[in-house]
Amino acid sequence: MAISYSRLTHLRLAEKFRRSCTSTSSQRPVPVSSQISKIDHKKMMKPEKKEDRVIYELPKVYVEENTTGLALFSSNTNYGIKVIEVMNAIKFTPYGLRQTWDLFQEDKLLRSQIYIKERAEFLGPELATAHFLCFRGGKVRFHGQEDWITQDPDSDMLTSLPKFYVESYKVEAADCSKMTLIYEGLENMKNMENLKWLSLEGCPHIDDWCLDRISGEYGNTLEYLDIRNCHRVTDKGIASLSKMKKLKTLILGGHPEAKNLELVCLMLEDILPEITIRGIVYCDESLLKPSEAKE
Amino acid sequence: MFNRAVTAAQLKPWLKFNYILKNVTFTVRSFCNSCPRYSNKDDEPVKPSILVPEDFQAELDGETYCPPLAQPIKPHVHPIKKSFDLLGITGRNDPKTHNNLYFPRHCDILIIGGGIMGCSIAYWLKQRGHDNGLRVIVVEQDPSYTRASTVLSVGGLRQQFSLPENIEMSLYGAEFLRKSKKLLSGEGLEGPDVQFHPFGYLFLATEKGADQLIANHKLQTSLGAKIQLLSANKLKQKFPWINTDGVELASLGLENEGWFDPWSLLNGFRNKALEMGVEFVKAETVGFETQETIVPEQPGIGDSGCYHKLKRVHVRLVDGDIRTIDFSKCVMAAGAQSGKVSKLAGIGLGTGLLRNALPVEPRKRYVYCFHAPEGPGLDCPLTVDTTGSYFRREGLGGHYVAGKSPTANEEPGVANLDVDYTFFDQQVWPDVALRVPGFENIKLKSAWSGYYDYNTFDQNGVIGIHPYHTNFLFATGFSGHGLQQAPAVGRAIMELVLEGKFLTIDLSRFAFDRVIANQPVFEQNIV
Repeated sequence: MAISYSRLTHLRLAEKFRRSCTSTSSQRPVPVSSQISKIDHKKMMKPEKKEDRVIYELPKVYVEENTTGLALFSSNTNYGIKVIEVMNAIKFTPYGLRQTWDLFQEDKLLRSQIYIKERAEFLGPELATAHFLCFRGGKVRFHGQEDWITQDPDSDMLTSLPKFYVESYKVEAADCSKMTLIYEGLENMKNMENLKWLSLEGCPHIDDWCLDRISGEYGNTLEYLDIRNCHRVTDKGIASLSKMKKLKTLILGGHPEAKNLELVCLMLEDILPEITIRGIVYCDESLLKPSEAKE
Repeated sequence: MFNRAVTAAQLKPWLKFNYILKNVTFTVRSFCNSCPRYSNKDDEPVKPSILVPEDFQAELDGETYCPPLAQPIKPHVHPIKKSFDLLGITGRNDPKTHNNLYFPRHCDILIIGGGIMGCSIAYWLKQRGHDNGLRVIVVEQDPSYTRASTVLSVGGLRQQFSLPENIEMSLYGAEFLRKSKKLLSGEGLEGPDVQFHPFGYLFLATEKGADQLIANHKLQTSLGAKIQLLSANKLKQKFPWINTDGVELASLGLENEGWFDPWSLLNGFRNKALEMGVEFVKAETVGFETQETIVPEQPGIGDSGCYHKLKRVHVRLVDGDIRTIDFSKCVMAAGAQSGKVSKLAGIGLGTGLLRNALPVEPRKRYVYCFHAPEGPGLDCPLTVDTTGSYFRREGLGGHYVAGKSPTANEEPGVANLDVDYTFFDQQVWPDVALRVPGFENIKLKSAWSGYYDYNTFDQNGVIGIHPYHTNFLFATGFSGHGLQQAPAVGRAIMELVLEGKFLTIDLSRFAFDRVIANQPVFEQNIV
């Protein structure tokens, strides 16, 4: 007796199976590109080598999309899923409305800070960072210069920054205090060669993941870090700063969710050779001496 | 914000028939030579390429026999009791306390297993179809999770794999964990605090393994993971507490790597799923029922026949009653017991496509917690030694957690979760003490053991639809790295169920078909 379910199902499975079996582990299947944003993030980026430093491309952002009923009129869609989604009630409760509004605001914030590859390619990483920060209210200081570059409050034009790639501009210090920087926005501040000074004071969206990104990115060069009043930072994020071997000054304060902060800071002082931590009050003066045995 | 749903790259219509012709190889009935030609473009005849072992091809060309599964039973509910319970008078109709006599009799999607995979799939499915769109039921034998692999795991998150799919799934897992507090919160429900410790993974390699490490590193960085290669000298500079004898190369994860709390993620998924309307049933799966559907004769393809479609599952409640749940699709996410439960669906008991069983079985792994006053400090990553032993810091009090995967001859029995302390003394401690001189003076504090849902075929997850039972999906067999891939797998299964194809990450290489064709997809970095 013949047993077959459906010819098309078998063909579909056969096609997938054949593709999956003939590809070896060195060939990877090409993933789907998202249609959400106008900026396409290409998957296969070749890392560039620059003086033994491999410049990494950070992963693409998986932007969650909402769908609207108008999508029913588009072709190439599976109508079955729309039938399911139509049954999702629109939430007119206060919580639901607030949630929709919050999602909208977050989406807006994400799109305003998303990484633009063309900017980095055109201006070079240092100037791209400078443009990104200054346009959003931050300040930047270049190596060899003494003045902080910031946006002129009267105009939108950043007249003090070059608009083309100039090799001699290297960012040495970045003041991002009270900016609404998010994790995806920190992607714009990558590949800088010699960032020594960073202030994230009062940034509300900075949390452990952002500190992980910062310590992974500037672990070799950063010497001064100010994370006062970043409310989402916990002691795990501060402990991850142990990856920054050259950190000389760390300024803390205003972390309500950080438990065991004093212990973490003591352990940081054990590991990082030149660190001075300001903003922490240890109970006992004798604990300020570098300890050999841990509790 | 309002944008179309993502769609896969569509085959262009004029090439679609070419693809069908060229890819007709693995079928239940070999009709390749009798297939009418749709285009004149290529005039070469369709050649079925042999992808399965030759002795098996004949069996596949024949028939797939589905053995008889469970017999239909009629659930008994006393009619008078039923009326009173429905009115809510007796208080026995409360779904939240697993006290529901009015057992859900049908659902759209049934998920067997309520661990991290099951809860993740339930969350993703219900997120697309909350309210009344989809009815999702999760059958979990033990809601207190005493023997579940999820809560007993060390909780690592790493991107240092050798397969691109694994790397992409971990990257997505990291992204999801970062947003988990927002995504898994609801009205009156606070999102979970996954307590991510961003300290990275450190893999050490001898001269023999250095080439593999370099190749892996190249792939990982091309996909967006931030991994740094360190020579022995640089390793010593960065981590002075390490002993670099025999270490040729090391790879350290700089970002999105570390460990987190699996229990809070599981609770986050579960509570959000409950809030959206997923029903959790406390029962054990004991059988499946099939329904025969007559498939008419199709000239040129095959004779008429009968297809056994999985229709209903039999579950046994705590008090011994057996109830049934009708489902449209079923997802196997039972973890270590998946092989056993899949056999109830006939997978492994028939012939043809049902001949191969799901190669997932439980394997016991030990984890030991010890105190070392002279151990490494705050910057201790999860270090995986050249011998396979691993250790990481636990908390701030000088405690460390270590373990090792035993070799094939030393596999412990899986009847219970008892810990073998001699394994620590003979295998784990010598390795870690050699690697870190500060671990010579330690005191073993406690230990626990858990099951890996070990895929004996190639130690990678089985994700996809079964070729015969096309309404039966797998999401199991991750062999120790399932926890970090749970968000991605949940999303993939959701896309497969609702859209019919993978949209974000293409996991077709992890399908069950590779077991039938005997083409393993090996992962080089198993811890």
